[in-house]
Amino acid sequence: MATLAGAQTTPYAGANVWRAILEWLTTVDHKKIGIMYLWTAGAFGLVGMAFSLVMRTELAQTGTIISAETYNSIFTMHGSVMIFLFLLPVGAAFMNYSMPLQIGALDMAFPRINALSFWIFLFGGVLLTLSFAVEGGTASAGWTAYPPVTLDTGNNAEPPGAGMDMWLVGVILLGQASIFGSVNFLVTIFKMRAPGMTMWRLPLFTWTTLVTGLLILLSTPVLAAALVLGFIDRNGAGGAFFDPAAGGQPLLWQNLFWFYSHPAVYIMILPAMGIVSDVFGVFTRRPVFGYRSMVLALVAIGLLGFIVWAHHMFTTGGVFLPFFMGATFLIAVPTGVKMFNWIATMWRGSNIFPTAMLFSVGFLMLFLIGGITGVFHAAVPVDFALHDTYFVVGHFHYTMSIAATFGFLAGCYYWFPKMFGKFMNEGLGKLHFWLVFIGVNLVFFTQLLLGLDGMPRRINDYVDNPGWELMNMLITIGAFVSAAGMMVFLYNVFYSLKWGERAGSDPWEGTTLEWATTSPPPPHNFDSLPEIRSERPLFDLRFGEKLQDDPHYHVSNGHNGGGGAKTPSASAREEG
Amino acid sequence: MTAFQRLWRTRFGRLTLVMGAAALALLAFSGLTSAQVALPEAVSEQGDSIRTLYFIVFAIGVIVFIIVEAMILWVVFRYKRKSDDELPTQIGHNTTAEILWTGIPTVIVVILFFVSFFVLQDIQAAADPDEEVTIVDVQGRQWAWAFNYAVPLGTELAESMSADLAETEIHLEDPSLVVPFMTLKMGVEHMRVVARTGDVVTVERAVNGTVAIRHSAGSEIMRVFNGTDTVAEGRLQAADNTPIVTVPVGQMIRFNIASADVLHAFYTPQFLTKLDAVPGRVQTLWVRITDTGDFQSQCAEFCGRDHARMIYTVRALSMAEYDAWFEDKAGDAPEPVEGDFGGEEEVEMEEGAIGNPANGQNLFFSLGCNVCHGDSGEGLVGPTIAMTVVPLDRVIQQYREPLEAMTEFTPDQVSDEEIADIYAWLQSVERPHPADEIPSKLAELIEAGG
Ligand code: HEM
Ligand SMILES: [Cu+2]
Ligand SMILES: [Cu+2]
Repeated sequence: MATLAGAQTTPYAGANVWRAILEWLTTVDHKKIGIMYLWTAGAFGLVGMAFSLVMRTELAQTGTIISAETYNSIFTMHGSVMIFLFLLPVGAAFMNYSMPLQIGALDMAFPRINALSFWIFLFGGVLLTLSFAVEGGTASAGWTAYPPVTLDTGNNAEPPGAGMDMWLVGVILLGQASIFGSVNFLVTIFKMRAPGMTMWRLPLFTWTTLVTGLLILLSTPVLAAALVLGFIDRNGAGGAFFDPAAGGQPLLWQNLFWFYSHPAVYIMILPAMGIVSDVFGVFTRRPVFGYRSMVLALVAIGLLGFIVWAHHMFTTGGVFLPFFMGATFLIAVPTGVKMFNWIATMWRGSNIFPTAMLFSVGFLMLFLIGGITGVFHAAVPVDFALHDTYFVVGHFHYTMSIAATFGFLAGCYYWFPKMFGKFMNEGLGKLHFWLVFIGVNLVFFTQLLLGLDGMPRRINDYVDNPGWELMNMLITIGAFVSAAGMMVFLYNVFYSLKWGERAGSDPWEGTTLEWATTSPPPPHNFDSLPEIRSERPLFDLRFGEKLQDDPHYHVSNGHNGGGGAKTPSASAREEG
Repeated sequence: MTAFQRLWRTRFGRLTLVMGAAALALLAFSGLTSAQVALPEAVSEQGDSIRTLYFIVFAIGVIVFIIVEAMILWVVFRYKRKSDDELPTQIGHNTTAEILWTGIPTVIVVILFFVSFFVLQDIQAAADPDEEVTIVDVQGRQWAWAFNYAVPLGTELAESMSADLAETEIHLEDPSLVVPFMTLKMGVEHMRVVARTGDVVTVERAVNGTVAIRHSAGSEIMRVFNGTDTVAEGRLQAADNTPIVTVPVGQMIRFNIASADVLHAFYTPQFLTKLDAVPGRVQTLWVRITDTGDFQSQCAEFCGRDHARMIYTVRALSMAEYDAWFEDKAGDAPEPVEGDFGGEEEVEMEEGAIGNPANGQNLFFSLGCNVCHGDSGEGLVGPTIAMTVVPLDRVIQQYREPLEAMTEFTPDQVSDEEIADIYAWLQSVERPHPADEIPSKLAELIEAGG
């Protein structure tokens, strides 16, 4: 009865909590959905990190601590969680939260589908997680799930159990969530821009959202097809799409899988690239260098990303090597263009280095190593040596995993004041940055060396060749240093939510529209919008007059959208 | 003011110090770990070409890295906001610069493409048609390797045949050369002899035999023998016996790579190359080895539970040593056998137990027992079990609750009756070695009267 009495004494507060919970559960507000994506993905990211620590503990020395089955399950779930439940949804979180604000929209084009997409994602994530509880445990054939080891072919010594089916269905759901999201992003960008927000004035983060949306829309259905075929192979009578003993083609899966998953690595990295582009623009007080070539490079990467999938299959003996080698080499060009543009943005800039900027510079340094090691893989004969060794593991962590994470962390520090009205603590932020930066380089640079020396990936124990044990120990130490850094980050999040310094509507002297409204923004986002005459409307407002005589400073005079630019959201609401 | 402080005062000095410190850290690091920033020394011609290409890519990579990293550090250290109202230049693009940093990388990757392309042609080139080559048939299986070699059988295919059936009949010019359980090879296909009735030899596709090929009359028939040696000393827990593939130095070697179950990859780091074993395909890897020695190798494509334990050794011998080894391994051609054999008739077992050895033999191969115990139970990674003296009930127990590293088999997978069939067959094969290799724990159990 005590609780009841308690409830009676403060009926109002209790009702409020329930109302708040209900509000979050039923919300269709893109900002709330974005924040829910962020929390959920962040939690999954911590889970994925915990898995990586288990693996690194096992590999610190030769010999085994956990069984091979457990190790295989853990590395599989590490990859699956990190990709499907951390990197993809974190991207979705920021695209949801910031993109509509950046284009001056009220919300997404289809707010309810947006909510649906979050809940499907959550359901898929829960399904993947629950597979720990079923007999036979989780899927354990890597996040790539190459058949026939995933199938019960009669030849396979240890066919996986229900966990594999849960993985297939879970990933289908996650893909569906992505597809819903992408349609929403695309329609929102095409249809909901504020007056004056022409395509060539879109902030770069919005451009990356657009290209990412296209990539998701065009590639995810192919993955879904592969997953459905895999599910039929495992459960249907017949099928036999991938089972060679029944006339199927194991390489077919690899083609379908990478037709999605190569674009998917760009789906993960492009939003991070968008974030660092915006961050560089703000903290240098310069226009992002080569804005149009940035957009073209983005589109080029998106297009090329669709014709390089088989570079993951160079050693299968089933690939026309010269074509995929050439296309893969070519991708280095637009990637390089972006790198040089970012550097040129800082060149002669009036640069300051808050944590968001540190992570963006860290992103450049990591991505540089990632891109260069990518060229090693593109050279097919060299890839014959490096494929499926720790060199690949180092390469794709430097690019997709760690560089992307750095971009997203920059996004956290950058948009946290907008989301919650408070700054994240800068001191803790810098500690976080240095711990993680040193940690991940220790981990992944050492992995490159180990891979050169021939240590294969996905093994739970290794022969003690000279130096291997030492290198593995260093990697494990690096992993724990990075994890310590992430603990600092976690602490910082909760610390700042409670005690963080209050931030005004535009704490960074931002350049794009999300800074033109309160922090956090009202449900309808904007009370009024400034005039949009370039890709930096707030910069124009703040410094436009001072820069009038600068020959390099350009804004267009026309409004391009008629006279309604003053308070589009208010008028839109009246009309609606 | 120390020299250090003086240096730190200038931006260029700071940059130099940072770069210097990073370089020192890297040097100390690679010294500490004895790591090399290069691929291993190659022991094959193809590997040498790959290593050369690696150094080209590496050199370009290092140069690009240093230039771009220096640019990043430069803009970070050089350009800092000095006052709150400072406004930097608003230059937003520069066509010349943009053309340069698009054009130069394009030129670099186009050059790299052509260099890589020619190296690729070079390392994938097959042996000259009139050159003598060593052929090794590599079979990956969960979780072991078998390395098969072949010698001419001394007869040819008499009639053309299509091999797209699991079990098929062939006609040989001299079928009497075929003996029970022999594995034959036509092209890259392996076929196990199941039975012979008169002139008709019934064969069943074995591990490599999953490609449908038409064989024409006059095709050469080879006799396959398993040439897998093993190293006894353990290098990994639970991988005490690692298989060895023996090959000659100097001759082109054609590895025919196949898989009996799931994906594997044949990877010898010192060849600087690898090729996947894809079930349903037989793929070719050409290697010409330049150095003698033992080269540690390992499966490189995830293949299930014990992927980490699929270790093997490549043993490269001089041509003369290899020839001697081959002679010894191939042994004498089996005596021709007259009359029929195989089929379904039942054979009586020594102790009166009845089993069907023909069925047992089939099961022995289809369950994959041969991978570890050898094609006639002579012992490989697993112990010798031909003519085993372990009683049948103990053998059944070994299937159900395996001692040591054997795979478990449930009654659904193989029934007690079927085990009796295998047992019957094992009693009928010739035991190649003395009976000294009963697994230790089993032997203890037998002694304890269990
Ligand atoms: C200069 C640009 C890049 C090039 C030339 C390149 C090239 C390659 C190649 C050839 C492979 C196959 C290696 C192998 O498995 O043997 C590979 C693997 C991979 N790359 Fe990249 N890459 C580049 C950038 C990126 C980026 C930006 C990402 C992430 C967004 C990324 C993510 C991955 C992943 C996840 C894998 C391996 C996945 C696996 O095997 O499980 N790469 N890359
Ligand atoms: Cu790729
Ligand atoms: Cu394997």
